[in-house]
Amino acid sequence: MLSKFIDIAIIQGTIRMATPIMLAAMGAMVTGLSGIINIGLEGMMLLGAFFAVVGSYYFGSVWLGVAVALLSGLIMALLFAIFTMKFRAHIILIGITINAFALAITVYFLRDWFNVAGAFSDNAIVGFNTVKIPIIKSIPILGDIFSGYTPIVYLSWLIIISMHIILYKTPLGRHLRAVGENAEASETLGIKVKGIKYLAVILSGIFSSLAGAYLSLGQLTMFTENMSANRGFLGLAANIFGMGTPIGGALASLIFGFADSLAMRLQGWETIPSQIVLMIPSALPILILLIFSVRKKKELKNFKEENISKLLSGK
Amino acid sequence: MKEFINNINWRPFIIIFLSLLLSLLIGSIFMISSGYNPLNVYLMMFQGAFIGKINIMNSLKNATPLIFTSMAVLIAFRTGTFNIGVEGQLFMGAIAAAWAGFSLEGLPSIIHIPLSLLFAIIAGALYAMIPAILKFKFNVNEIITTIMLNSIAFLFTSYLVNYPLRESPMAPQTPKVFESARLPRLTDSSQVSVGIIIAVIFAVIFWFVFKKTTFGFRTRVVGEASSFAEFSGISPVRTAFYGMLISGAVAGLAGGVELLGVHYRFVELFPTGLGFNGILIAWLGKGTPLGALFAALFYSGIQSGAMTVDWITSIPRQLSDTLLVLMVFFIAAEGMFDWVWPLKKKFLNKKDQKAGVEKNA
Repeated sequence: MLSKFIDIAIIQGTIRMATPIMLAAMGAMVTGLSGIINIGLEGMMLLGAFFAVVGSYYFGSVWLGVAVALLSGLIMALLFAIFTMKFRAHIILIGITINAFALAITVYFLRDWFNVAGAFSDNAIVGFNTVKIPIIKSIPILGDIFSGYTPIVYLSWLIIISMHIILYKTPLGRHLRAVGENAEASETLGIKVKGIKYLAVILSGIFSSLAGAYLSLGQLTMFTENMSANRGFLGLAANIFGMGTPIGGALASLIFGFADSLAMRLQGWETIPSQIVLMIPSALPILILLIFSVRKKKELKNFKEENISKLLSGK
Repeated sequence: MKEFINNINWRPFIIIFLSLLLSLLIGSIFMISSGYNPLNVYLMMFQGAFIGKINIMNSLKNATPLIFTSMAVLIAFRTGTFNIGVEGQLFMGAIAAAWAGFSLEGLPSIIHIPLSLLFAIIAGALYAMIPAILKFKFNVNEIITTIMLNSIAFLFTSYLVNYPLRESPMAPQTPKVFESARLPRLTDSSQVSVGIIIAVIFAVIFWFVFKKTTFGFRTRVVGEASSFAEFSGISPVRTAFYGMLISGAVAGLAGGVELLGVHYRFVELFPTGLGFNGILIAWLGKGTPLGALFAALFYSGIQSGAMTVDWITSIPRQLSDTLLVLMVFFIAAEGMFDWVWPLKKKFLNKKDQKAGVEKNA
C-alpha cells in the first residue's frame, strides 16, 4: 500500500517542490536572524516568477530571464528596506502590501503587455533544461535522487551550504546573528547594524525572486496568476521549524515539499476528494509548528525547573 | 469655527492626499505607456464610479463587504494582532449563512435573516478561534497559521459545494437560500441590499465604542502600549484573544451579508480578495473606523470606475487594485512626508514676522 505512493518519482517530486520553499526559507532565515519579519517573500517570489518569464521572452535567454527576476527582487527588497527602516512603515503591513502589489501588478501587466488573462506561455520563452551531474548520475538510485534537475535546484543546495558556512564560520555571520540578538549592543561593538539589515533584506529578495524564476522557468515554462501559491509563507514556516538554521530550514522545506508532492500524487486517487488531499500541504505546517512550540515550551519549563533546583541546592 | 479647524489634526489628511496624488501619478505613467491620456482615463474612472444611479449603486454594492472586513481587521489590530485570516473567516461565514438560508424552511424573514447572519458570525468566530488558541496558548505565529487556514477554508468550502452541499450535478454550488433569508434590496435594478445600511451603522457604532467607551479605551491601551496595559491591570493577552474572536465574527458577518445580500448561494468561485483588501482599506483609512468607512466607499468607487475603463479602453481593471496598493504603500510610509511638516512652520513664521513688522510700523 505504502510502496504504491513512495517511490523514486515522489522523492524527485519532493526535491523539486521543496526547492522554492527552501530558497524562501533562506530568505526568511537571513531576515529573521537580523531581527526582521519579511512577509513580502511571497510577493517577491511572484514578481520574480513573472519577470523571469518576461526577461526570457524578450532576451531569448534563460539566464537573462533569471537576471531580470533577480533585479525585480533586488528592487522590491530595497523598497521594503527603505520603507520599513527609513520611512517607519509597519513591517508586516509592508509585507502584505508587497504581496498584494505583486498579485495586482502581474495580472495587470499580463493583460497590458501580453494581452492574456490568467496565464502566459509562449514558444519564445526559454526554460531551463535538466542537468545530469557527471559521476553521480551513474550511481544507481542515488543518481536518480541527486541528479537530473534544473540548475536552480543545484544552486539552491549551494546557497544552503554557503549560508551555513557564512553564518557559522565568518565574521559577517557572527555580526548578522548579533544584530538580531541585540541591535543596540551590536551598535556599540562597532557593527554596522543598518548595513547588515539592508544586506539581509536584499539577500531575502534575491533568494525569493530566484525561487520565483525557478517556478516559471525551471518547473514549467510559463507564468500563471498567483503562481507562488503560499510558498513564501511556507518558507517562513520552514525557517521557524528549522530554528533559524540553514540546514534545519532546508530539512523542514523537504517535509513541506514531500507533502506537496504526495498531495499531487493522491489527487488522482478517486477515493478521496481532491480538496481534502490538497489541504495536506496547508495543514501540515500548522501541525508541525504546534508540535514544535509545545516541545519548546516543555524544554523551557524543564530548563527553568533545573535551574531553580540548582539554585535551591546551593550549587 | 476657527478654533475647531485649528484643533483638527491635519496630518493624516495631508498624508492621504499626498499619497493619493503620488499614486495617481504612477498610475498615469502606466496609462501613458499604454498610449492613453491619463486625464481622460481618470475622468472616465470618476464617472464610472460616482456619476449615475447604476454606477453609484454598484460602488455601494462593492463597498458593503469591504466595510465589514476592514472593521474586522481594525478590531484585531487595535487589540494587538494582525488578522490576515479575514479572508478564510469570511468564506466560513458565507457558507454557514448559505446553509442556514437554504436548509431552515418556513421561518419568517424577521427570524430567518438574523438567524442566518448569526450562523455566519459564529462560523467566523470559531474559525478565528483556531489561530487565536494557537497563538495565545501555544505561541504559534498567527501570520503563518491564518494564511494556511485561508487556503484550507477555500478548499473546505470547495469540498462542501462539490459534495455534501451540492445542489445538482450541473454546477458546484449550493441551492439558493429561501426568499425569507434574503436581505431586502434597496432598488430593483441593482444588487445593493440593506447590507450597506447595516455596514454603515456598524462602522459608526464601532467608532463610538472605540472613541467613547471604557472598552474602547482598554483595547486602545493594549494595542498601543501593551507593557503599560499590564501595569494598569488590563490583560493584553486576554484582550487580544477576544479581539481576534470578535474580528473573526465580523469577518463571518461580512461573508453572511455578501451571500444573503448579493449571491443568494455559495458558488465555488465565491469572490476572493475581500479579506486582503480589508487590510489595505483599514490602512487607507489611517486605522480609524470612520476613515475605513470612507476608504471602503472610495475604493469601491475606483473599482467600479476601473471596470468602466476596462470596458472602454484596453487598460485592465486591476488598475484599481494597483492604485489601492500604491496608496497604502505611501500612507504606511509616514516618514516619507517628514519634509512637509517644517514647511508649515516656515510658512507660519513668515506670516508672524510680517504681522510683527506691521505692528512695529
